[in-house]
Amino acid sequence: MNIIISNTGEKPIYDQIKEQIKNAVLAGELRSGDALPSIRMLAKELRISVITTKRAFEELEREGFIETVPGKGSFVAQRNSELLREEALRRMEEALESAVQIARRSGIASQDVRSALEMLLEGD
Amino acid sequence: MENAIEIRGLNKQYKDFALKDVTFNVPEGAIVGFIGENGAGKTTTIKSILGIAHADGGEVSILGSTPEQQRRNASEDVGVVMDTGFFFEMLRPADISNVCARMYHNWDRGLFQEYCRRFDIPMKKPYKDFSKGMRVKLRIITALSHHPKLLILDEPTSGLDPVVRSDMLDLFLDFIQDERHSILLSSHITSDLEKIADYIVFIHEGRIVFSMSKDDMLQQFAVLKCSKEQLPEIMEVAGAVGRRDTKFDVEILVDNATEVRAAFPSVLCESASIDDIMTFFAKGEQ
Amino acid sequence: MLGMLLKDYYSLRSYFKKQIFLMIVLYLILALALQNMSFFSTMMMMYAMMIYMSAFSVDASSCWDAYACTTPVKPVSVVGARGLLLLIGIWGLGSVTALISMCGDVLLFGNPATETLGVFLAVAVVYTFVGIISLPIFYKIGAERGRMAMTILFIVPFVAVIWVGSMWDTLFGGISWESLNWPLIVLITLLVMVVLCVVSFLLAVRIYRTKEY
Repeated sequence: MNIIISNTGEKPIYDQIKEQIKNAVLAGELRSGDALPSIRMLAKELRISVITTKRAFEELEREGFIETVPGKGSFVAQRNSELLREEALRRMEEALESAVQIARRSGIASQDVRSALEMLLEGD
Repeated sequence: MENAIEIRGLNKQYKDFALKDVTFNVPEGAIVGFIGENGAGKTTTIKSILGIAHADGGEVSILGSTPEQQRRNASEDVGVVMDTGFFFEMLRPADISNVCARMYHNWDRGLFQEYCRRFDIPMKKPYKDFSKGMRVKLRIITALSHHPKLLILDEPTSGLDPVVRSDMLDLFLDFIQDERHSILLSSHITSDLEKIADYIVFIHEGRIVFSMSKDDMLQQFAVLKCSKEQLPEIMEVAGAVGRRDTKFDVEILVDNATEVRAAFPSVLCESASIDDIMTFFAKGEQ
Repeated sequence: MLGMLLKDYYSLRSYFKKQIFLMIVLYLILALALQNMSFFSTMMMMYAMMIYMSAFSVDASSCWDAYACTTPVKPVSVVGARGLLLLIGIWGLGSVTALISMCGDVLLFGNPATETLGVFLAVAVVYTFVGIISLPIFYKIGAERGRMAMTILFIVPFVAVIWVGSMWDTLFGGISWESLNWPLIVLITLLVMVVLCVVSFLLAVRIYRTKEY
């Protein structure tokens, strides 16, 4: 598993870790039941604080992506397709939101935005 | 989870310096970075924790004992590296190991030898012939080789090159893999602390300025740069803790970065480094 | 305590080697020149005192005592080891060398053994007094000032003997040197010495335990 962190940049490190693990799960690189590295080992290897890795794992667990078994470690949660679909939907909406913002700021009409979207959806 | 060290209202008076109301904890399993300018009180605080200096007031608990008990029964569980205070320089690492074997029940000869081998420290040369980096490594591995639970280090890596410091960081991170181990590390090498510290405690002129998680600190504090004209409006929202005026702009350290960024999205507001925080607090007191 | 003695040995090892060679050479020359071996033990005991003083200096230079506070080593061990260093140096080294020089004196030069024995005992007692009184002093005021204090202390018995000797008749007019109850005097001296050792030791431990750095 690869986790690549940027120390500069504005995005908090725990967030980056969260995103990358989530991506790995969504893309199927991490399958249900796969063991994740311990929070301390992860902190040591990446040279970051244990609190950071702990927070990333806690949030992943809250969002249902992983499960932590006391004494054993953290594992990828049973594949919940409902959850994954929701996550994918959320991301898609975020991306569309960005596109709409750009359009508004540059004075592009809603009609043009819709046409562009149609074209993209068709041309595959 | 217990606290490895608990300090409440520590006071100590010297002729022209005093520790006032020092309060912070070192939680079990954590690395606490202790920062402050020279003379701010880091060494005095550490000495008070260890019972080397006697406090005038307040409570200190180290691994459940008071500093007096700690000094008297000296728990084997505390490993200490101070910038002064060690064996005489004519001793060789082999000699140090022999003496330590009689001082500590848990002295691990094999581990000590292994560390010496790993860091190219010759066992049979008096350590006065060592380079500065090797001397520091020797002190740190001596502290680690009796399997302590708590490591207290007072500026162990000052004056060392980045390569040696990196090796030492690895040692500390290895040490903390056991979640019952804790580290209190006072250092000027703030880049190291920015990497591995879990909590940062900042002491200034004998008083604790803040004690918070490093992540929170790096998120909350920011350096805002603006023109003199923009300043009054910004100051209504910003929690300014320090200020630096240049010929070309005004720079302020704010402690509520998220609010400020939300209120003034176009104003330059960059994450503050630990160095920034220290310098602004020390100089820009307005 | 053994650990502390070991540490002192390691610290002073190179100093030992340099000094002892010189001293032995010096001594042999003097012994042959004066046809008398009785001061062998005196020289060796003086050497032991030098080692004792150096042990304090060496510890001070590496801030050892502050470091020792953070280790499990007990104040009794640290102070005890230093006291042992003194006593073994004076009485151990002293008696061995006294024995050697007694044999030498009798066999080589035909001098009476009692002279050597007398010299040895007198010097050993004086050195013990000075050394053991200095123990708490060293811990109270530090190695450098302690050295000065100890040097000054050496002068005291010297001056006392000379003064008592010159005032003998006025003080003890009538009593002769030989008629004194020497065994009793020796017994009392030894008793005082033992008590002094114990008191100094306890005082030094107390000072060491509460010292701040």
